[in-house]
Amino acid sequence: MTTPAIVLEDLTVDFGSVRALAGVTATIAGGPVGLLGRNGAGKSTLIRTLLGLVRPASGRAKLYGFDSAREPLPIRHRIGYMPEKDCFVPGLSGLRLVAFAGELSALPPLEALRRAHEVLYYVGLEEQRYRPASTYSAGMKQRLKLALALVHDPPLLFLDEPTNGLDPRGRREMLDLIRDLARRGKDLVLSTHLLPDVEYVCRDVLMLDRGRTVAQGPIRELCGNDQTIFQVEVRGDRDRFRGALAARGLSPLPDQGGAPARATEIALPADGRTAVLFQAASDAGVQVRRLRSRRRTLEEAFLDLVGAD
Amino acid sequence: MPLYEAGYRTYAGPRPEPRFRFLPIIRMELRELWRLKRLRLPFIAAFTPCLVHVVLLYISSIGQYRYDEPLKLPFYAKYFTEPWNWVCLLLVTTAYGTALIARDLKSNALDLYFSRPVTGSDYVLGKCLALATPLLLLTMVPMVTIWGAAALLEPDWEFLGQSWPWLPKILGCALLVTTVLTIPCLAVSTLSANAWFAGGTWIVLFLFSDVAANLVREIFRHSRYSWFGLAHAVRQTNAWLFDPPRRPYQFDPEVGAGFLAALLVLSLGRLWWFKRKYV
Repeated sequence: MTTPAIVLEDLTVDFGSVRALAGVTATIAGGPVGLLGRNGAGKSTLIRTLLGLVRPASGRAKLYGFDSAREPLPIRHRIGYMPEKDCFVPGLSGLRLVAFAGELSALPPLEALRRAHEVLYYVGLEEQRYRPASTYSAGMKQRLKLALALVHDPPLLFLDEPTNGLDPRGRREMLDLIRDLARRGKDLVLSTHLLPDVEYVCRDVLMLDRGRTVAQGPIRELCGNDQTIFQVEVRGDRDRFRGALAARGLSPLPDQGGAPARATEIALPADGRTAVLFQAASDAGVQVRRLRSRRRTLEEAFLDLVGAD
Repeated sequence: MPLYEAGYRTYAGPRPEPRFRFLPIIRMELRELWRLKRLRLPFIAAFTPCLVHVVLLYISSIGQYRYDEPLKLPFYAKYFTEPWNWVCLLLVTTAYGTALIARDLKSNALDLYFSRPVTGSDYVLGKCLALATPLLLLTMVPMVTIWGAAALLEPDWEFLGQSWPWLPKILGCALLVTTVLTIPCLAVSTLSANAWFAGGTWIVLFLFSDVAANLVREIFRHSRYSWFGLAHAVRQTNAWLFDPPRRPYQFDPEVGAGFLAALLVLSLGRLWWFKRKYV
């Protein structure tokens, strides 16, 4: 049996009187995992605790079997951290900075330099590697931070808002890089507010709210992908149609603003038949003018779980 | 072609367990120091007196002119507290030393260090040694060079035979000056993320202590109350090492050493607090 990448056992972190994490318990086997939560939910605190930079008040966090509070150095050998904020040594070129990060991660100096060339090429900064990092554009800085996280080839990556400040093309390229890394067997934790990014890259998610775990598991299960959502637009009395659906044991979904104004959304089993919708329309004396199916998005699941406020 | 098609290669090279995790920090900082153009002038200026002394010794050895200052022990005891050398050290510590940590605080570089297998102690030690190395170069090399030139240019080996016990004292003096400048300078560097502010604070502390100490000495016509001047304290502590003839108006070496010890303890406390706060 392989050791899970991350194990959190009743992890509690306090900053003075503020409780940042309140008994978070989760097990992440590996692979690409999205870390979701609103601002202040505890995502960054969780990452800093896993890095050993924050000491938990109680509970434990383990990475590959190492306790984050007692054995931070073996953990830091095995992770690459891409922070949300820029973290560069002023004056250093991209190449020197990445090579320096490699040396700090215990690579011999010449190997670190060779490896810096490789990862800068991989992230697409081969032309700009000799320029001072402080002169890079926002997109180049994000790529440089990814190179810094990758230079020592860690098995686990923490990516904190990796697509921040990127234009649509840059964002897609960054996500492609991250997905490629996941495909090559890297475990990664992607912390972001952009739920489509998580859906694009990750298989599993861990959702936090006010320092607590609200959901964990495969995206398919959280999105209820054993169901299909149908948007039905009718001509006639819409309320009578909703009443007819209710009479057949089907409750329309609450309006979250994503559907057209006149449409009624209803979830049916993925292998269910749509005949029941037409029968309900017939019972209500309304005419079905449009019928569209779609999958439930991660955003909807997220809003259901943590609330829209 | 999408970027990722360039391919990611896994690293299969050596990963030795590092014995000194602070070494990359020293290497990087010294490499950057070498590139700093603004520090070239203070470095050249710091070596100029040494060059002048060596030239004078040479002229003395070939002509009628007799220059024998470097043949006397007190010359070495006060070499670094001479205004020229002291100001050069002030310039180097201000332009280079006070930015070492302040710059990392401003650019959020601590995340870069501490997400890697580097402890707070490694970081502080690396920065200390990165500052101490050029300071040792500036202090040890000129004194040893002057002493070596004096020994070599003497017509016989008598001076060498008499003065070889000075060498450990010279090295001790250089270590003392380096230590009392390195640790307080780094402690000042942790005060702010603004390197200019840290540099200004260091200059003010440095100058205030010496200017005020000199004023007090002039007012009382005695250096008894000048122990809080850094240069005075270093000079008096050197008296322990070199034991030159005491002058009646000087304060006890123990007072100077006590002041320097208190300064070092205070600075180490600040660095320890910094390490605890950020790691």
